[in-house]
Amino acid sequence: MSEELFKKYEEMAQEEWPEDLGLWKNLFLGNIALAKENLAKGMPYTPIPELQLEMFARIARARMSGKPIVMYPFNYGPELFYAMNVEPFMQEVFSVGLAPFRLNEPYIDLANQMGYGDNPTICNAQRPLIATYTRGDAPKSDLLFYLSTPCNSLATTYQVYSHMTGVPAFTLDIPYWSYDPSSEFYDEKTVDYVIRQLKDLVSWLEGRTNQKFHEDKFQETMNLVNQARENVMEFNDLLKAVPCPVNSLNGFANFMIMAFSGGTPDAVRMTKWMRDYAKGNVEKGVGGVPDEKIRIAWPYTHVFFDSQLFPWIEETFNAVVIMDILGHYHVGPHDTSNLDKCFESLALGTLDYSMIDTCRGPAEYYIDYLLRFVNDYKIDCVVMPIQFACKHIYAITNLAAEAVRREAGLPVLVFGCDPYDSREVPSEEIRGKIEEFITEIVM
Amino acid sequence: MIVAGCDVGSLTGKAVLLKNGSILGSGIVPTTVKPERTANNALAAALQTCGLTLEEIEYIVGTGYGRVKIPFANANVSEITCHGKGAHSLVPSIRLIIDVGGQDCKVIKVNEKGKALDFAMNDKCAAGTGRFLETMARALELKLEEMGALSLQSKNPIAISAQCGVFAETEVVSRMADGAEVVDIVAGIHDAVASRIMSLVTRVGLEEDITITGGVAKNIGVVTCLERRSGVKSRQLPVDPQLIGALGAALLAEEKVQSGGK
Amino acid sequence: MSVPSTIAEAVHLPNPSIDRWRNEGKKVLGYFCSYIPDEIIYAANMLPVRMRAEGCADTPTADAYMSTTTCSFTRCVLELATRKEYQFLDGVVAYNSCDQVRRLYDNLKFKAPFPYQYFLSIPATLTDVTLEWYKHELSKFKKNLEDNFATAVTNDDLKRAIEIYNKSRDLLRELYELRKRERPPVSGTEVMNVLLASVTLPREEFNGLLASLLEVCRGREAESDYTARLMLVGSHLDDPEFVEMIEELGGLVVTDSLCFGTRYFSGLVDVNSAPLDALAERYFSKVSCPRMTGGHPERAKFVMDQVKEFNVDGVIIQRMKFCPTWWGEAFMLREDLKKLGVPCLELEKEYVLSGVGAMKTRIQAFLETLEER
Repeated sequence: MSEELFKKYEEMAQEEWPEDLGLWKNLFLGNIALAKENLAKGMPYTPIPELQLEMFARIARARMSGKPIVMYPFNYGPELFYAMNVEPFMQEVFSVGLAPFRLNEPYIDLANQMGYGDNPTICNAQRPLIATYTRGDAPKSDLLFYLSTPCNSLATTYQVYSHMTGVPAFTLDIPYWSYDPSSEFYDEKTVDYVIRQLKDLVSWLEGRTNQKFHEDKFQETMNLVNQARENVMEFNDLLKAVPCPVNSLNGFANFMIMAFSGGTPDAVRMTKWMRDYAKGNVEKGVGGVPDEKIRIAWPYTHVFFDSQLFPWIEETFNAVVIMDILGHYHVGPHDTSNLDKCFESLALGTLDYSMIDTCRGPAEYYIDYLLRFVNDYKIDCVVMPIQFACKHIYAITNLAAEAVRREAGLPVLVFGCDPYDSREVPSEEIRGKIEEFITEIVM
Repeated sequence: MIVAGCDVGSLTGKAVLLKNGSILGSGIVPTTVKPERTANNALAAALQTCGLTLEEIEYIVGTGYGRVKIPFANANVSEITCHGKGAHSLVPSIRLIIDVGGQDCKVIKVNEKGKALDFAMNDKCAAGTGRFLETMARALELKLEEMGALSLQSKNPIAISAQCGVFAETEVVSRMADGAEVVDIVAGIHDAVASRIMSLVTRVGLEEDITITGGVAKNIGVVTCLERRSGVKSRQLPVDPQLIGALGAALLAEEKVQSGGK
Repeated sequence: MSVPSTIAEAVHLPNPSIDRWRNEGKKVLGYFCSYIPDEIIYAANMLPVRMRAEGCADTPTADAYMSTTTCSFTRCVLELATRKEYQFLDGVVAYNSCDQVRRLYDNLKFKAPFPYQYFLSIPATLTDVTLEWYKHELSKFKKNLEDNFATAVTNDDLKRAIEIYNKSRDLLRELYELRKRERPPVSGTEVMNVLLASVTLPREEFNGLLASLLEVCRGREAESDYTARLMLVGSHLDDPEFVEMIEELGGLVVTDSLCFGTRYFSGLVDVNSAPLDALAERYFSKVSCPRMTGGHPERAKFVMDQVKEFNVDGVIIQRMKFCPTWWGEAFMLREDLKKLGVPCLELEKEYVLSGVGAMKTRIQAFLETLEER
C-alpha cells in the first residue's frame, strides 16, 4: 500500500466524524496502524489491508455526505447497492472483524445481559448487532436487507433489529431448489423467482432513498462484478495445483473482496492481483505453505477469534487449509449483454454465493460440494469446527462426515466451538484437537 | 397469634416463627433427600430456639422447591412471592430482590406493599448460582467461604466465561496451568456470576432500593461485583439473608389468618 | 368436564381411527407445520396427520446426527423414526419451516426414510411475488401426490376438502367463543386435546365429535374455579400435560396463539376462488408464524386483540429450547406486552416435559403476581 494511500486515510481520520462513528473511527485508526506495522515488518503484500481501510472510509464518507446506507449480511454480494448508489454496510464487521482482537466479546456479553439469544441458540455472527445498536457504536443505517437463508438465526436477529430500531427491512426469500436441469432438485422457476424479488428490491430501494435505478450503471456494475468473478474462478482452479499456490489465509481473500466491493473496479483489480499471484506461484511450482505435506478441507467458517490458528497449522504440520466455506466463492462469470442477462447474473450470484449455494437447500448441496471439493483439490483430511448455535450445518455434519469417510475414504474431524467467542472453547483446546487428529489419524 | 413459614430449598431448609410480626425463632438445616424430613428438621430447629411446640402454631405457609411436600403446611406459596414479601417487610424501600441460592438465581420486583410484580429466574444450569461457586472452589482447592474475600484482592481479574459451569471449570484449570494468579481467577469467577445475575436484573428492570439475599449474599465478592455492575448499593437486611423466604412465608401466613383465610 | 372418550383416544399416535382408515386401504401422511394445507392431502383421499413424537424419552441416535443443541422436537421425531415407530405413516411432507425441520427431513431421508417423502419451499415473506411462488409449490405438491399415489386430485376434490376443513374452522372458532365467558365450559387442557384430535382424526369424524362436544358445552356450567385467565403463546406445543400443569396451579387457559391452535385454524378458505389459489391465499394471510419475517407487528396485534377479547389476565410464552425463531419472537413480544402493561411469563421447555418443579415454581409465582391486580 502506498504512502499516498495511508496519507489519504489519515487525513480523513483527522476530520470531524458523526457521533455514531466513534467506535468506527477507532477501528479505522487501529487498522491503519496495523497495516503500517505489517508493512514495516516486511509482510508480503496482499490487497486485503487496502480493502479493509477502504471499507471503513466508504462508510464514513457515506455518513458524512448523507448517502443512504443499507446494512446487509455476509452471504450476499453488494453489487446491486453499488449500482444504485446506496452504500452497503456489512454488519458482520462487528463480529467477524472484531473477533481476532476479542473486541466483539463485550458486545456478546451485552447481548446476553439484554436477554437476547444466549448461545447456543443464536449465532454470534449477528448477536453483536443488537448490542452495538444499543451502545450507539454502530454506524447509523437507513435500511436493512437480509435473506431468508442460510439460517433462522440471521433472519431472526435482523427481524429483531428492525423491530428495535424501526429501520425498514427487505427480506429476499431464497428458494430451496436448484436451477441446474440435471439436478434432482431442479425447479425451472427458481431463477425467475429470485429475479422478480430482486426487481422488487430495486423498487423498494428507489422508494426508500432518492436514488433511481439506471440501466447503464447497473449493466456496468454487473460487467465489473463478472470480470472479478472470472478472476476468482481462475484463482479457484489454480488452487487445485499441488502444492497449493497460496496459503490458508489468502484462500479467504477473494471472498472478502467480493463481499465488500464486488461490482466495483477495485474488486476487479484486487481479484486480478490474487489470480496473478496464484498463477505466478503455480508456474514456479511454489506453494503458499513451504514443503506442503497435508491439504485440509475446512467446510465451515474460520475460527475468527484465533487469527493465528491457520499459521500455526501451517507451521506445525506443513499443512494448508484450502478455502473454507466462505472463502470458496464460486460464482459465474455470466453473460451481461443485456438487461435481462444482468438480472439473471444478479440472481445466479445470489443463489451461488458463499454458503448460500451449499446451505440453502437439501443436505445434498452441502455433501456434494464437499465430495467434489475433496476430489478436485486433492484433499487429505477434513476439519469441521462447527459453531454450537449453527443448527443448519451442525444438524447435517454427521451425514456429511459419513459421506466423506465412506466415499472419499478420508478422515474427518468434527468438534463444537464458537468461532466468535474465545472463552467458549479456547484456542489451546481447539489446537489440541487438531493436533491429535493430524498426528494420530492423518499422518 | 403464632405463625410459621418453612422454606425447603435445594441446599438448606429454613423455618421462621412469627408472633405479631416479630420473629420468635428460626432454624436453618441442611437439606436431606426427603423434603418432608428437611421441613420437619427445619421447623424443629426453629421451635427449639424459642421453646415452642408445633401445636402452638396457628398457620404455616410452605415455600421453596419442596413446598408441596411439607406435611404441616396449610398452604404453599412460591419462593418468589415469599422472598419479595420477606425482604420488603424488613426494609420497605426495597423494590428489587436479588436472590442467589444454591441452584437457583432469581430477581424479584416488588411494589410498595411488597407484592411481587415481576420476576426472572435462571434458565440454564448452574452458572450464576452457588453451585457454580462451589464447583470453582473445588477446582481451585479453596474453601467456599474464603472465595469472596479473596476475589477482592485481585487487581487484574481474568475474564471467565459464565455460559456453563462445567466448561468454566475446564477453563479455570487451563488458566491455572497457564500460571494465572489464583486471586485473579477467583475475581473473574465472581464477576462471571455477577454478570449472569445482571442479565436477570436487566430483564426485570433495575429499581432502587435493591437487596441481595440467599446463600450467596454472604459472598462479599459477588455482592461487590453486582453493586459495581448495577451502580447501586445493596441494602443490608437485619436478618440472615438465607431466612428471607421463610420470613416472607410466615408473613403471608399471618395475612391469611388475619383475613380469615382458608 | 370430560371430553368424549374418542377425542381422548384420538390424541394418541396411532389410534383406532387411524387403524380403521388404514384397514380401508387408505394412506396416511405425516406433515410438519401449519403452512402445508392439509386440505390437499385430504382431497387426495389421504389422512393428514400432524407430526408429533409422542412417547420419545431420549434421543441418543438423533443427538449424534443432529447435535444436542438443536430443537428437541425434531430430534425426538428422528429418534422415533430410526426406531421404526412411524409404521402407521405412508409418508411425510415437510417444508423449510425452520432449519431444524429442514435438517430433520435430510436426516430422515438418509437414515430413516419413509416410503414417501416430499419437501416444499415455502416463502418466509409475504409479497405478491412470493405468494405466486407459494401457489407454484402447492401445485407441484398436488401433482406429486397424484403421480406417486396414482390418483387424481380434481378441483372438486379440493373444494370438498376445503368445505370440510372450513367447517372445522367454524366449529373451533365457536368452541373458542365459549371460552370468552367468565366461566368457560372447557379447560385449556381439554381444548388442547381437541386441537390434537383435529390434526389426527379423519376430518369429517373430527367435525362430528366436535359438533357433539359443542352441543354439550353450549349449555354447560363450568366446574372449576380459577385464579387467572391466561393466553398461551408459542411454537410447537402438543402436550396436554403441559397445559394441565398450568391449570392445576389455578390458571385457566382461555385462548392462545399456538401452532396447533389459533394460528392453525383462524381464517377461512375462500370457497369462491380457484381452490389452490384460495388455499395459498388463506394460508399465507392467516396469523403468521414467526418464520414470516416482517410479520411481527401483525402477530403482536393478534395477541393484543385476543387479550382484549378473551379478557386475558396474563400471557405465557412457551418456547422450545434452542429455537432461534421463537427466541427472537419472544424477545420482541415481551417488550410489546410490557409496554402495554400486559403481564407476561416466558418459559423455555424441551419437547418432552421435564424440569417440572422449576416450571411450576415460575408458573405459580406468575399466577401469584396476577392476584389482586
